[in-house]
Amino acid sequence: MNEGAITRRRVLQVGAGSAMAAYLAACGGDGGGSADDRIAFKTWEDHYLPEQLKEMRRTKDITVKVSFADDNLTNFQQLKRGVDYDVVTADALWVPRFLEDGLIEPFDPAELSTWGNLYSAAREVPFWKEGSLYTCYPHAWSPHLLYYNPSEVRTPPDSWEALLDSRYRGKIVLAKEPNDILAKAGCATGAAKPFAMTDAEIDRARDYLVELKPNILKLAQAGAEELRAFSEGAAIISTILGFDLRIKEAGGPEAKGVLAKEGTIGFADGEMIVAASEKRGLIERFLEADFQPEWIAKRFLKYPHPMFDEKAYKLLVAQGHKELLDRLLYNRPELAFDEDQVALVAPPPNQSAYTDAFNEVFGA
Amino acid sequence: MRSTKSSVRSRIAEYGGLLPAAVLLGGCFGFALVLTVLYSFWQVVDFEVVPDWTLENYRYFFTVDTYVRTFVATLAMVTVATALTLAVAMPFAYWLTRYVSRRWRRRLLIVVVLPFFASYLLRVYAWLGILGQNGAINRFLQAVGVADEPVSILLFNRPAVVLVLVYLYFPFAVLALYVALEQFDWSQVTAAMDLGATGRVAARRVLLPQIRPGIVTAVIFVSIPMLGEYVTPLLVGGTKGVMIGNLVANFFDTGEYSRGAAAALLIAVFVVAIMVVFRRSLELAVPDDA
Repeated sequence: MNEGAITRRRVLQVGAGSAMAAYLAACGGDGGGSADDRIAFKTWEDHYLPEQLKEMRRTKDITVKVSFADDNLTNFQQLKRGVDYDVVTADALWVPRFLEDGLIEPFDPAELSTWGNLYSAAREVPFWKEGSLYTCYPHAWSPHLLYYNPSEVRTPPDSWEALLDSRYRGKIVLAKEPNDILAKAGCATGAAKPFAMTDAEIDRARDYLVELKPNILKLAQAGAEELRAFSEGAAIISTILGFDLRIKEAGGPEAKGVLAKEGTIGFADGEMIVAASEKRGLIERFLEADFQPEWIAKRFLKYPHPMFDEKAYKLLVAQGHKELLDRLLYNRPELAFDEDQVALVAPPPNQSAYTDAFNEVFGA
Repeated sequence: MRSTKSSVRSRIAEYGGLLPAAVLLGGCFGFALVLTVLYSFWQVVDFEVVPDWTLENYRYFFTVDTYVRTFVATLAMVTVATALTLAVAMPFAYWLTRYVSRRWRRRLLIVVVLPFFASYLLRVYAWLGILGQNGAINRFLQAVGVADEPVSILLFNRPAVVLVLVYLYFPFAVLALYVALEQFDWSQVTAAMDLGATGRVAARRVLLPQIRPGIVTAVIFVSIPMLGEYVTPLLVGGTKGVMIGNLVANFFDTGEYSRGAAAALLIAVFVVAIMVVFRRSLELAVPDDA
């Protein structure tokens, strides 16, 4: 046989070997810390700083492996399937849902030295309390404001109703979040609980969106799309979180934010301890290291939205950021839990009705 | 005994090459398909799919006209985009096979497939920079004095979606048509014209029937993936350029897997129907004795 010839057996061997190598490479570890001293942290991008994690590893001997969270639903379903995380982030009323399904375990706040740094409003949230225990460590919050370009929009659109004005035809850009959009429409049409609307309320919200649709340029999947549309002048109104600062950073036109008169939706999130995790002691050490005011202040400066840590607020004020802090409502944590003004993100009890209404509005 | 052993070995060798594909397609695609079919007949309760049998997921799509309307709009966009893709690809493939030397053909074909080296998302995003208000076209129009201010009709509508789809699927059409045209014996056209046929008649009665499998392949390669598109309409279509894939994606994004599965299967059934229609044309390409 010719030595250089490729035999069928050789092809199959190489193929199988390559497939196995590719599979092993794809399953590869993250190269830091053993599974025992490592925290598997499923969270949003703005909940940590890489340099903070390095520092944590160096000074506290805690290794953190971060996985980005897509949304509350995905986190919820992953935990239900038994994916191995130790700490998971969730929004507002999703937290009781995690607890209800036995996915998280409450903790005793008295055991955490950083707990006292929180605003009292964040320490007394009814839906995050379980007796004397707490179900999540409050991190940050923000209402969804209506942002507008003041050089194009003379009268500030301070209500959802104002967005229906025909002058804004094709000039509004919204984030593509079906439940959030329906809930905002619920705010516009006076729904009692925008994330738990009745069928009649959903019908009213849908009618509002049908009327609003001609004014919507696009539903943006990523913040960058909204920034681009706004920067180019294609859009003049947006509802993306922290839009004024992001657009400024991107070198776009000025954007001003207003709270809608009818109320708005908002997020308030925190870190939860996964019930199946056996690293309770390590997790508590991690939370204490994670919620040091100095690091919270640094996180705020990188991702500016209100945090629940009062000590970090004072630190930032001392650093000369008071105007920014107060403009973003950092000093008003009670607003996050004022149901008349802010409807916090929650899993709709009738999700299919929300999705159907959304599709029926935004289909062709 | 020996011959039985060698026969088994030869059988294994014969089907050995099939094994990886069978595992991949049977294990992954087959499993996913079965799961999708089951999901479409089950229900989602409290964000979990539960095996409670129902036809409601299918019934829903025929009772809400948004879906039928969106599907029809999608078909219209796909038909126009496929026709335009072929209209651009056919002359190009013809020129490539007839007037370009073999050496340069290969180079040009590499240029055609070059976009595949960039990510799909990046290629679609690039069009925002071309069609946007500060994009290349608007800058050009303003520079030559055709427009005083940016033209907004270039983006976030159906024509923008069709344009980007044509760009994305052009290489597939070119490759399929090039293969068909390269194998065609052009002396037949010459012979037909020698016998009195006009150029148009020769093309219609000699060339087209023989490259029909290539055209059908191009149509399939182009139109079927387009039917399932949702990223392109999402990025460049705005609220006016929505396709059925966007509505399906919304079901999955919000955990409504059963409705999403039913919608995806309805589209799949339609695709299979197209394949059945095109089957005859494809069979001509592979005669039984080949």
